[in-house]
Amino acid sequence: MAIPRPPGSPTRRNQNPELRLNGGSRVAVIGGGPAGSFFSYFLLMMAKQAELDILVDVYEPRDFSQPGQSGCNKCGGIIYGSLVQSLATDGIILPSSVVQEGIAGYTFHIDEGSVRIKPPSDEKRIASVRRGAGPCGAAVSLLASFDGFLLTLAEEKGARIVRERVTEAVMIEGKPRVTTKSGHSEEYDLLVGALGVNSSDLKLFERCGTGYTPPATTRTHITEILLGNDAIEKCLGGMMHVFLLDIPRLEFAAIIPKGEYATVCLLGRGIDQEMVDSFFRRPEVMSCFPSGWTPAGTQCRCFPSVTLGGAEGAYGDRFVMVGDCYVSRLYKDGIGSAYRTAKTAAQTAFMTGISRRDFHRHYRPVCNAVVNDNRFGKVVFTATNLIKRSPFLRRGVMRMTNGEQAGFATPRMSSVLWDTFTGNESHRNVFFRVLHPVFLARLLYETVMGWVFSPKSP
Amino acid sequence: MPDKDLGKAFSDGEIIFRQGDVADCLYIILSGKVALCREKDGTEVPLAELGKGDLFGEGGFFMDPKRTECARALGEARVITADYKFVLKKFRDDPSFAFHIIETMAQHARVRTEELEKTLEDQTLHQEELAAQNRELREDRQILEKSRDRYADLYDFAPVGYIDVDETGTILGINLTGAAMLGTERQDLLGLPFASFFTQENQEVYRDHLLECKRSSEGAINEMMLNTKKGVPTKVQIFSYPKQVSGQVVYRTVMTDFTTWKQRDEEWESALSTDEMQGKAKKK
Repeated sequence: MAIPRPPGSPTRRNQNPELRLNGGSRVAVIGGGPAGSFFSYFLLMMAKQAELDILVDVYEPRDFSQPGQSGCNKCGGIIYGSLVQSLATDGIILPSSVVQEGIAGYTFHIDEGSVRIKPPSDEKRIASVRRGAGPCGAAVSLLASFDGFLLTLAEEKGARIVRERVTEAVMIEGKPRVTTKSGHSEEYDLLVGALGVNSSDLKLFERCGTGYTPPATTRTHITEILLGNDAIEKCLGGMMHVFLLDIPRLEFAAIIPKGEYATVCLLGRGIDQEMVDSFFRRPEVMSCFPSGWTPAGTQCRCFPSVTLGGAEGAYGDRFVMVGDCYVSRLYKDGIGSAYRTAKTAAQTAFMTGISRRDFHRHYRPVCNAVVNDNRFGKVVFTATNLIKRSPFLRRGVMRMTNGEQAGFATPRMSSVLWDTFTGNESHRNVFFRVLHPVFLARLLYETVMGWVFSPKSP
Repeated sequence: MPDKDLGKAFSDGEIIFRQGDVADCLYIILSGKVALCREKDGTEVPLAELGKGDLFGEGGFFMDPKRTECARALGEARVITADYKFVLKKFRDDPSFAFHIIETMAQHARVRTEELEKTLEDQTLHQEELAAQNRELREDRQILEKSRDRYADLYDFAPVGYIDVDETGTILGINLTGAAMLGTERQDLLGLPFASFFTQENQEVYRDHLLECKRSSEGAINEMMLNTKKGVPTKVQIFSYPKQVSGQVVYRTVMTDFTTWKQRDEEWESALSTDEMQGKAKKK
């Protein structure tokens, strides 16, 4: 059934028909990662509902069916519960070939010990996925890549995939023109930048006349470790393992089960090989691997960047950036940020227009909300830093969480830890829950009790 | 092999929720099929069959927070839930989600309307069938009534009296001719001993007649003198035989009034002799 195009109020909708997407409009999406695929998918879906013929070209030279770093977008590959639900309600059902593992819960490790945090529901809502087709040297199914799956969805909606690298994206007489490595050049009505922060091609958009400046980033570390299905099941048990260890500059680390592999992610500031080595020397970490295993000889490892803040000049007339090259939530939820920014940008472009004013009014508030939330995130991670450095606070957190998981109290600390590391809730939400008087009183009580009953206390 | 897929699995035929359950979330099918049914008088009326990507259970969000239908897995099915808090947040953040929900509800409403129309058609068909059956029954009844009236006429107005008595000789039933021969209304005769209508000397004969009847399946025949209201005994012939009626033995008696027959014989004979005399006169 065809629906009329959403009218919008005359004061809010772009009055210039030149700066709106109409039948026959052409859109160039540079980058076929989740942000580019989501943008194309939602734009084409709305166009189909309104019976409008919009042409979308997605420029993506990488082949996501090839294992190794050439077809990988280098991220932990966790899709948290509310994103899985949002995708499902949008009609994007993750196939079992793409879901490497439905995560059954989290095991939280600190220097004082470990505690298993049960999920709020008995159904599995967190998925671990592979961004590429698999680690270096792996022989895996061609359908295993999450990014490949999304790009196929966009293609099924009608997007044309151009397997060429873009060498130039400029505005000529107010309209974007895209030139590929082969010298082929085309003019479009809208240019969408969907390259991740790890792409060296981000500088392409600096010539779009909006003063685009990429967001601040920091280095992380990702290692793919082949352990085999049995060892993964025995050592990790279908759980994601989160480490809050007293290692300088390390915010937190995670081990994620993915089929016969385990993905190790380290997030912090200025992560280097020395920090990685010190992480793997910790007994809490080695307890998650089979006895006798050493990290030496691991083939697939990388030090990708993650977005810390927001970009400048990320939109203009006929130009918009989506995904983590604009904004992303602090230390987590890169795919969720890609979904949120891409969908909002597609809705803005389709429903209101493609002028700078349209993106400023309707797209920027959503991205600004993420930037503002990251401010709360910085406070939350400062607090976690404080906790991991203080043995008393660590003991208090462990006592409080253990008591909650044993059913003795309302799970306040458990839910705060769950939402801090899963990305299920905003940093702001976590921040205000931590300030709850009952939470603070219980943490204080458990910290004092932990100090009194500590074997090391006088 | 541990279950690594997302959501919650339901086996074939397993109930996902029942009609009347508290509705606090909507469901999205990740794989397999789900049947929605309405429970009525202990039976399930199928409403719709849903597949991968379909939403269901959204009604409780807008109306009574109780399930108005039940959902059952068809084969192995996997579903994921979205609680209403999440749905509210989505409504606020994403208008296209609201459109998607409205589209789903419209589809469900269409399916239900089609189902309702089908039920109405079925009911109309059923009513027509019932009317035809009623017509046939009425016709059958009329035939039966006519038949009954004809046989009642044959029984009641036969030229002989029919009397059913039990083994003690008590009158159980009698036709109108019989009642007229005994000179009493039919309803007053039921329950009276038949022997009391015979003359004193014939009552013993009737008892022997009844005993003979009990002994022999072929029955017994006697000529008796019947007391009438006019005070003049009438000669009758009674023939009785045993008969099973509703699992009970009754004795059916056929009573023929000799006086009437004799009068008719005489009238017939006199008519014959008149004819003969007239014939002779003509010959002369």
